[in-house]
Amino acid sequence: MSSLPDLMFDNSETYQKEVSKLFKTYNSADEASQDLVLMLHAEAEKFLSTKEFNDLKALSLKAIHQERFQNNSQHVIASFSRFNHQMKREVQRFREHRKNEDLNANKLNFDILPELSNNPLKAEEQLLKLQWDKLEELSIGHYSDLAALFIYKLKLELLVRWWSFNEEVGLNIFKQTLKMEVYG
Amino acid sequence: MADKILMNKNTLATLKNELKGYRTALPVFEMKEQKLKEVIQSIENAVERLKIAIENTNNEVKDWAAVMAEPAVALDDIIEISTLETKTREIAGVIVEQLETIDFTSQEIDYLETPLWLDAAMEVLKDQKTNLEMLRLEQGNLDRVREELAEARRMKNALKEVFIPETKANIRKIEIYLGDVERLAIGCAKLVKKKKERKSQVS
Repeated sequence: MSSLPDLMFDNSETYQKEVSKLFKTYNSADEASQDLVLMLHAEAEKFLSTKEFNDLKALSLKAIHQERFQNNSQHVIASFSRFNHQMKREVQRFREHRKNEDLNANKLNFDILPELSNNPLKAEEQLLKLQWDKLEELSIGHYSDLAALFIYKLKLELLVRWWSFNEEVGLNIFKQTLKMEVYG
Repeated sequence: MADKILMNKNTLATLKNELKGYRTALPVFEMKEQKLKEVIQSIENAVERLKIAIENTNNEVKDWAAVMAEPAVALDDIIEISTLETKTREIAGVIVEQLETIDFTSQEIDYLETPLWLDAAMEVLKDQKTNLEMLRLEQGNLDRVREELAEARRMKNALKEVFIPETKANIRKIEIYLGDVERLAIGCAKLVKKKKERKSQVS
């Protein structure tokens, strides 16, 4: 664990490059891959048992809210899964209210969600920060055990998702989508 | 008009009749030209407003467009125009089309599994697609009205600079010719009369 790059909630280009560079030095054999999570897997596989490695591989931010993780034997995974599920449920309720043109959707009483920004990018960053903070909270007391590695992977996936947000690429996709109109 | 004209009263009457028709038609084409210029101005204003609206939306989207780079969501077929109905009306002889209704079909969105930003992206795609369709219609209208204006101008100029002056010149030629013929006939008649009078004095 101590050899892995220290993760911070930061999306500056310098920091992204620094983390990528460090991962690449550990994974010099797999130069073709740019996927940081795959690099983490490759590095972790060297030190974990098959079961532990399979558990690590199965863990993913996209699926963490699912029931199989909510009942996981690892306390940190189960806790974060339940937290993530509740957050997603609240976001779901927020979106349903907003769809029905409920102008007070932002003022609904939520246990986890803060008042979300009207700017979709900022709102996503709020949600990422919320999850990051929860992972930070869960990481207390876990420094070099398996739970720490699971938390590390989830944090890395949060960052990878955040870092995938790119104004130029996003705007191109938006404009391209408008050009691709096909009449129904 | 360059054809040889018959110098007779029938042709003169026909030409006068044609001139009357040209003089009636000229103000019609002048008015049409004026009306079409006004229509073009209003369509150009609408096109300009739509272009500004599209640009403004693009600028607003730019603030948060970064999220659309997230590879997990494909925007390509998330929203499509299902029906597009237009109504037509005639302005100064041109058919212009206006957007009446636009409906979209969108994929069923799972609010639990999809990211929050997708709702905003779908809304803005709908708005921008509507703006682009309106712009497409207005640009089509503009092309048709400009074409009609060019035709009205050609007709006005042809009447003003070719048909009316040439017809007037031909009428004048025939009138002079017929006047000459008439004077010649009077002269001849007078000569015949004088000869007859001289003959009767001698006898």
